[in-house]
Amino acid sequence: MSWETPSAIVLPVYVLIVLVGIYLIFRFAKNKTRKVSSLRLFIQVAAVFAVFMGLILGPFNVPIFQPLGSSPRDRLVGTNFFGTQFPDGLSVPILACYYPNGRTVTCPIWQIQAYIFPFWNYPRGYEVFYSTSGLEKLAIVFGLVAVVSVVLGRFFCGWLCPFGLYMDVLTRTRKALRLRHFRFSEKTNTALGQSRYIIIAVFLILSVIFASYAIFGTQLISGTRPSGPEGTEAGIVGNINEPFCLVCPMRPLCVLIECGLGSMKFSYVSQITYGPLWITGGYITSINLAILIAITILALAYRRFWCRICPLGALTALFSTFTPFKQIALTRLIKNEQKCTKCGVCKRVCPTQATQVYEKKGGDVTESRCILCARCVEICPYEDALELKVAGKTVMKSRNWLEQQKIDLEEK
Amino acid sequence: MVTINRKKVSAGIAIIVIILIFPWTCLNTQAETDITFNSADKFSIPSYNGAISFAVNGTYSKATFENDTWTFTNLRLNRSQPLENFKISTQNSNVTVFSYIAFNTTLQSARLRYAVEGKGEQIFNFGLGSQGGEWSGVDWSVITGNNVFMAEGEGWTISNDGTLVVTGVTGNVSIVHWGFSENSLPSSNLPSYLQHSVAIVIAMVVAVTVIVAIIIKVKSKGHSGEK
Repeated sequence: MSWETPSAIVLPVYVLIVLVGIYLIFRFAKNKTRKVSSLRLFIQVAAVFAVFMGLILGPFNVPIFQPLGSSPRDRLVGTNFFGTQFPDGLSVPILACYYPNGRTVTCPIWQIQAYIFPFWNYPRGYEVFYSTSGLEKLAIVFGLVAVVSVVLGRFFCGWLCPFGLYMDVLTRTRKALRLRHFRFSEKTNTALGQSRYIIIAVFLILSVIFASYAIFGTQLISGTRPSGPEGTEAGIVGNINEPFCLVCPMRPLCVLIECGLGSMKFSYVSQITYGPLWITGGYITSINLAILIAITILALAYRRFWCRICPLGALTALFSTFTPFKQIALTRLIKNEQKCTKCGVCKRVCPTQATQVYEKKGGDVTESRCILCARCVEICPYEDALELKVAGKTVMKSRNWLEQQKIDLEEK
Repeated sequence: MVTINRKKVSAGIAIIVIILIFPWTCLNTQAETDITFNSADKFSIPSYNGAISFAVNGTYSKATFENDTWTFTNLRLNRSQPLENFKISTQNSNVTVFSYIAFNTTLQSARLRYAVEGKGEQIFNFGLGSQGGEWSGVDWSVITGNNVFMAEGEGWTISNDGTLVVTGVTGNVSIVHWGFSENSLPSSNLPSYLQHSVAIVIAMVVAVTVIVAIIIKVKSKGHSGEK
């Protein structure tokens, strides 16, 4: 590919398509219990285009990125706005993997790991220069994640995350194949939810251990001392300074899709894998491939399986559903105790098996497992029993669609 | 479930569409003094037995021919970023320029692509100034059509004033330069609040968000209490 498309054409057209699509869904969606689900699917797809807009805008075949093939990274939001202070891209709490071409925002988990490493005075990262310390960049990442989590909570998980879309596509595939899904027991589901926090803690501690030479001047694990000149990219220990990215399933998913589309060169990707059976590597490793396959199979059986253990979801939940952030979080799911008849439909349709919406009597029923997909609000057949509120304003509430269906049938 | 005022939504969409389309219509405006050219135009260098042409349409403010070199001011190829002061010459070969593209991110980079007919010499100067100094850091690459990166000194040279000479190459060629502008490099001359402006702004956003959230929470509790 060697064409370039001006942002001034693509971006307005993109926004127009999204707005028109939203309007059409609201205007013409017939199935009242699927309208929000349809809207959510549309917005998820639109979000994927937004996250990887650089693949559409190009330019392509830039020699400086020749080994990767097509598009540069950080096309829109990274260095254009923040310069050398924060050049790796805006932190948004979705799995907008750092590694694929054409992405516009960056996964905060990668950023946290990467900035732990060049903690003291390493001015150069991967094709970028830093004018701020790792500590300052970490503060920026946490600040951004905290702000968006307080404002929208895990809405990002339910409506914007590309890997969440992958999970939902797998669910729809399973439904099309008429296979039933499975449910974890409450105990297992709770344990999975708690494991998220352990996962993120473990990998952040590993980042510090692997960065020990940079931070403390001594190796905690041998072989982690930078081998190149100090203060340069070559000096950063390859492949293990972002340990979570070695196991994250999003990286191989993005890389494989982009290789399939021709916007990354698989020949280059495969060249930078090391060891027997591709144990480690710059992009794809046997470990993250195996995890992707495992997650895919499990997601066919259990809805939104990854979202139950996602460490990024844990980070978002930390800043939205735990004290003190819970007191000020702006996006909440509210239950009206008087209107609820305990029919249990909300519990059955919840993709992450969040149970507080059913078990708690009333009031704020948002919990850390809830991805705010609003499926429970959509399916609840009792008027005003459930409401999704943002900044105190109701943006969605349950309606008596059973009664409406009855009226529609009688009219026919 | 969701109540939508369709008139308001339609009006809102119409306004947003107008706002989005408006800047794009302005892009079509060109300076009235710019001169357009197309692929049929040839810029000859008779004494050097060479000629320059462009594969795409474009514009320039001024083109002068002096010392067997064509100098273009504000050259744009098919609405590319402008080359403000671009010098080009060719000996014993014909050059057809395909494209020019530039990035203005932290890693500033630009690429010129052209095709050469005849084994001769092509001379370019992009008006970037001289190399040297710790932070000017301008690096160059010359890549032939087979994706072969040519080492400096083996097919091309660069002088201190930024004049790049490519010798003995035919076919498709790309010249890439990348470096760091002095504006985007860390500079201790900037005041501290500018050096850390991103962190300061994010801290302010966090503070404002918390304050607004607390106010909204208090108001919501007040309304619930009244009910």
